[in-house]
Amino acid sequence: MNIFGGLGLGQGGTVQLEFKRDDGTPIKTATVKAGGAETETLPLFTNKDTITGEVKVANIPGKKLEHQGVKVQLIGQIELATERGHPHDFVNLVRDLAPPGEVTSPQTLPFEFANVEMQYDSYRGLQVRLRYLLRVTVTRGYGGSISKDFFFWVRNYSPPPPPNNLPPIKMEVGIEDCLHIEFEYDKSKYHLKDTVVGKIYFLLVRIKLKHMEIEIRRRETTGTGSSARNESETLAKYEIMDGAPVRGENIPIRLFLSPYDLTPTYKLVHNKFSVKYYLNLVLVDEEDRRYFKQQEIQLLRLAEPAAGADDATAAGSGPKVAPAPARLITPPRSPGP
Amino acid sequence: MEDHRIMTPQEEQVKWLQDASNSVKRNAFYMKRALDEDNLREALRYSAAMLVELRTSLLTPQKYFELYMQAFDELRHLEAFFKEEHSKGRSYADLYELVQHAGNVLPRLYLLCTVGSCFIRSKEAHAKDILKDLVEMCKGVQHPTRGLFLRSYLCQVSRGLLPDTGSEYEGDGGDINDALEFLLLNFTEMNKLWVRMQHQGSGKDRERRESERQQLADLVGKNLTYISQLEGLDFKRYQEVVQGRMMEQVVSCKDEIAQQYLMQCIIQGFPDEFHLGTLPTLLAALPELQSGVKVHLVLASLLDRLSRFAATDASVVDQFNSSDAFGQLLAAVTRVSEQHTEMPGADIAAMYIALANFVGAVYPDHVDYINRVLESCHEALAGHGDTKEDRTEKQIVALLTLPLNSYDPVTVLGLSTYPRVMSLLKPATCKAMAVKIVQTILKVGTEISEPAQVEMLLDFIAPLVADSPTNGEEDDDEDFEDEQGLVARLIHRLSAENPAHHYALLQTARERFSAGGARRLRHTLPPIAFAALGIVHRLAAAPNAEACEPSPKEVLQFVHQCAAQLAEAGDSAEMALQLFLTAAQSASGHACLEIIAYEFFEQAFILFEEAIPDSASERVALASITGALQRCRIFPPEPRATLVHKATGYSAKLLRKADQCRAVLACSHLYWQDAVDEEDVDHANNGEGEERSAGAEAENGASPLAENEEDGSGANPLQPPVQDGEHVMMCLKRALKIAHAAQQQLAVALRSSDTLPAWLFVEILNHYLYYYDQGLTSISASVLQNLLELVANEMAGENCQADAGLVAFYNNTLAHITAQKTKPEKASLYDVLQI
Repeated sequence: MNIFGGLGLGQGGTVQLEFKRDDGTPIKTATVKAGGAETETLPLFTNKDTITGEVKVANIPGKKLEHQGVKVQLIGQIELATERGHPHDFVNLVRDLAPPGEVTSPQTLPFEFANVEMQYDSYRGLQVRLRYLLRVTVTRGYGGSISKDFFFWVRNYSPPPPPNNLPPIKMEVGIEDCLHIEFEYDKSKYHLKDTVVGKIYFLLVRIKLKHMEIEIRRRETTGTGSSARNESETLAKYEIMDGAPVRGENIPIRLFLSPYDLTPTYKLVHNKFSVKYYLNLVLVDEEDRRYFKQQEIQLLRLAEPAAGADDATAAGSGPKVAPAPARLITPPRSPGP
Repeated sequence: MEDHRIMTPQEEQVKWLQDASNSVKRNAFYMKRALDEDNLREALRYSAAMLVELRTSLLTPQKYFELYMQAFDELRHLEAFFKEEHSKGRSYADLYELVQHAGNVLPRLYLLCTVGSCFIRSKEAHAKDILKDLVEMCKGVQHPTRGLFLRSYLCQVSRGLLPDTGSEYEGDGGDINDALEFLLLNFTEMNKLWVRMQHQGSGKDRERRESERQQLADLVGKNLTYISQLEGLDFKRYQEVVQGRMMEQVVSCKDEIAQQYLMQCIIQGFPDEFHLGTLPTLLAALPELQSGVKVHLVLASLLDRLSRFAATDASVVDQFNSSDAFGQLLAAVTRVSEQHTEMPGADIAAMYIALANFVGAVYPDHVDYINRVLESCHEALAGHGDTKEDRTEKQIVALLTLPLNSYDPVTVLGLSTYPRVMSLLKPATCKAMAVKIVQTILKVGTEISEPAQVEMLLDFIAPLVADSPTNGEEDDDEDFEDEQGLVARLIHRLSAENPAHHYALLQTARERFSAGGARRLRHTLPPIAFAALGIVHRLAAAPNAEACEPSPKEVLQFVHQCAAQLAEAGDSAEMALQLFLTAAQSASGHACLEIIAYEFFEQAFILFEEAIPDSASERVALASITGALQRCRIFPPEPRATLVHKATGYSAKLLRKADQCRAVLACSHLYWQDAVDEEDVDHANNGEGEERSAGAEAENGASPLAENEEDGSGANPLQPPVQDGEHVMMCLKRALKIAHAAQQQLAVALRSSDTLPAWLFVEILNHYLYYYDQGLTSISASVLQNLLELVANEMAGENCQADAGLVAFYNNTLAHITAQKTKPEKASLYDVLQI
């Protein structure tokens, strides 16, 4: 794991940064997609965290490194595809680490940003990204300053929503005299490791369906008003029915969200962008015509259990006595035993 | 190249299967390699890829099954791996979720079922929860073939894992109710899919589709088999839960193939006691089935089971009785036929056959049940359009034949509704059925001894007894003769110990036969009359014949009526005449009723005069008359003389000389009765081969000269034998004269070579010899000697010598004389004769 950012400076020295905690406990990390199939692992923080660490500045052995001062900045910025190269900083904190001077032997400079306001999550989307970084600058009067960015990842957690305040999504839709269905998702808010449970009732079927699937779609909106831009992508396709149902059938839905790369729903982040999620129910008939109904769901991120970094289920190793199966369906309409 | 030609559907199937199979193999290979490398994620990926092949819609169920089996085998590797993973600490709950990440529903569910079975086996989860989840999730596959195989897979892998009573998964894992619920749900869903197949695709593929459905039937039926194999399935559960659910599904699916198959499944799959206990529900379902369902087959197998059940244990029959099983069954059958008006008549009849078979096996004593079956059958078919169709008729005949085979015919005659059912048949078939009944009775040899039974019997065989109103005389004469011959034989089966009863039977029979018309009466009346004469015989033999009820006189009157009716019937005068003569003999011989006997003779004479159609018949009839009259000893001289005179007169009127001659010879005997030999009367044979006479005289005694003429019914004493030599001689001489006349006639006709006169002479000689032997004084040895010479002369002729028969006849006559000479007591008579 590369939690050390490091760079050989062409101009006579190297700058390194190490996130460290005062009490020595390891820094959490997050593995995130880096575009394409690649992933990268970044230090992970959350709002109000205190970010501490050390910057190491080293000269090239045998040469001294003169500078007008060393500083570290904590920057949170939003970058839209439309204004690439001109990110908008919404946070910018600076710590001066060293006064002007020269480095003749490697120096370790601790820093601390206490209780940093990082209310926005890191995000990498199609047309917008929100990122956090620590920028170390060794200011030099000549030959240009040495500047190095060290990225980290921020995730914020929501409290679990009150269980009684989760109205299911229930809707009857259709095409007159052709297809009438009623669908039902158990909730309108899901956390990222949640499971969507639901049912589709076929009230009228006069077309020959071939299959039915649920898509998870994400819509990014940038800008506001007339200049708003929307960009959608389909993050998941999950077939829930094969073949042609007849009237009266009901088809169960159980969609695990954990395998997909989802984020919480973001509403007007810093007045710059929004990210919304939709469940799109798609029915395909034998002539490949598609019928669909899109329904927004709220996604949120719950605090992860303390034990594991990424995997919630890895914990149980003791003899579990018949736990209730992970996420079995609870047929909506059936009265409890 | 060959590859480019269009493939036949079969070849396409083979190719598609081959392609799919290759893909399964390939992916299974990668899957197993991933398993070897302990790479769960990859293994799941390849197994899903393998299972994707099962999403094909191209294959017929048969080919699909092959593919399924292949995948099934491969999944066992995965299953083993899951177990291994588990032993390494990975929880099944985890795996259970993991496999559900697969994007396609069909592979996902196969994997889920596979993990689910391991999950249950590990007991980390309650069996009932997993089962419930699986059976619910499988709804995701709505394609009939794919869904059926998937659910069949579920059924297969969960076998032995159900929380059945006594199973290790019982307890926290649920109980028998959960096991039942699982199987019932799976069954319901599978059946729905199966039925849905019928409605897919175009109408022209219907036949193919139905055959494909038949191939899949067992997948659906397996659920029911598993249900029946559950340890915890007791009667109460069956009655309260299982049956209702099954029947509800069967009825509501409204599909012929499914109903047919499932009803059979249910009947064959569950124990007899269950069926017996739930009979009302089971039967209530029958009328609800689609009209195309062959309910009779369903019913037949049910009844077959029940009757075999009854055979195992006598107490079962009590149970049948206490639940009025028969009544329920009958009501059900009736309702089915009411409900399905368009049901073929043959099938309706087949249901009743099944029911009748059941009754025969279970209630051998309850003939009334059979009666009710027939009655109900008649009602069901009476208004039905196609009772006259061959197939239907065949079934009705089979139904009617049943009781004939299983019961004594007399019992069958108790079935009052039998004729009604027969009336449903076409006249020809009905007749054939009647013939069958008659044959059965004849074969079994039962005696029918109650008038009511006779009535019934005649109802049964009504088509034979009278013409049916609808159908005229179309039938084959030969068949007709055969049929009536059977009926005639049947009359002899009507008999009773008590003469009065017997008489009553005959009266009944005659009354009914009277409607049959002349053609039948010819066949039916004689046996009745003869049977009646048999009664006269029996009555006369009784110690006090007069006190009998009925009196012989009454019976004879009955015979008279028969004969008279026969005479009127036309075309049967000879028979009637014979009947009169026989009756006359009976009257004179056994019953000693002179006036009646006289009346019979008179009637015979009238018939002779008026109704005998040709000379050959006349000759035979006259011979009979003479024979009968000769033996009558009841008449006082005067009436007798009248009759004898008449008969002699007839003989002269015959057309041919030879006939005249022979008749006159026969008439000579009318004047010469044998001296009464009391012992020997029984053995006395008259030449005409009529009834043998019985020894009534013995009882009555030959008390001479008791004149009781004022009372015809009184036991007339027999008259002494008539021995009137003078008239005998007259007859003999006339015979000679006629023989000569015949000779001359032939000469005139230029046929003098004919040996007929010689025959006549030899016959006359024989008669002379007879009377000579009897001691008739008018015949002297010299007269006889003359005759001998005359005959010898005739015989000398060349043509006579050429007639071997005649020569033998003559030689035998001479041999007789020679033989008599050797007997001491006759020697004095014969010595004087010279040959």
